[in-house]
Amino acid sequence: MKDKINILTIITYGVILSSISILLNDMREFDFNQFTAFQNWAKAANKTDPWFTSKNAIKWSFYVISAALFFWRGYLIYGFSYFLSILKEIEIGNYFSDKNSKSFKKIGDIFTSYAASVLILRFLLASIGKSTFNFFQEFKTELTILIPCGLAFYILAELFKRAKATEEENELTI
Amino acid sequence: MKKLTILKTIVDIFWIISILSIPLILAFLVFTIFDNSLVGKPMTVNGIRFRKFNWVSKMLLANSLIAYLTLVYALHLFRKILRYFQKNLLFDSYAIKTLNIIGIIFLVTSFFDSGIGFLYKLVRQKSMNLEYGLNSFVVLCILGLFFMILSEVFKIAKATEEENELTI
Repeated sequence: MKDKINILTIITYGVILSSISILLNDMREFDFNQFTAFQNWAKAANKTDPWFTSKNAIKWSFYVISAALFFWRGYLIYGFSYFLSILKEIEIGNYFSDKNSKSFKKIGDIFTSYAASVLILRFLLASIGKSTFNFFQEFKTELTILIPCGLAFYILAELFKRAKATEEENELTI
Repeated sequence: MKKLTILKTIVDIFWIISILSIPLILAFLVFTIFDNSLVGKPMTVNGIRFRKFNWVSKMLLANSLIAYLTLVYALHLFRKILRYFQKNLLFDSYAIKTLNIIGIIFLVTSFFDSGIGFLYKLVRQKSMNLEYGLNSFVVLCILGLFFMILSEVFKIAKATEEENELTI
């Protein structure tokens, strides 16, 4: 089992590091493109127009929603770090520790909240005309894996709690 | 556990959708292997573009379809485990053995499906396509190893439960 844990730990580290680098690259590209678009818009904008117009509101909404999407992606990557702590606990023999149950529950929380939030944010992005929204496409990409995985992790948290209770009962018997 | 019921429902829905597609997939598999009417027509299978639909592309297509069928079988086994959990048979030997089998299926499928496609692109098309982050190969590897570790941990839990039951 130790070999499998080591391999899984290495793969998880690889996924976390590559996901972080992809996220940072996307943020840098977004920031760069947004700044270029903002400069072009500022050059062509009519200075006498009032600041609070629907065009400004749409621009800022797009920026805020995109920033929120980046935040949720980062939060999802943070969720994977709990996976590493579970593997570490199992490696040292603390199979049914409270830490593992809490980590499973936390991963479940992160996966389900990410799926729900990203669905809402992408719908909002489509409603301000900056993207297209196809529920079945979103379902295929985000919801197919994340929601069942999130639920599975909640169930694992419960199972590990029961296993811990059994273990404690066993340890207390003489 | 309410979440268990929701998960079982979602998995059942996926299972029903997968089952409905199996006859079509099997028919398509037999058709592609034995029929030559698609020969000469360009085709894209799992991101690999074939200019000629020859025996190599038939083998790759068959490989992808068989990988899909094995994943459907793994889904079927997972449904059975969830049924055991619903009956409160949490650390049953069948569940432990099946978790290990699911893990092996995921690992083998990930290597066969993605590995063969990668080798084909490298050897025949002289191109290498590396995907960082979460792709199907990495997800299946992670799930496979995770299920195998879970099987081992459940074995320990079962041993603890049995020891507990035997004490007076």
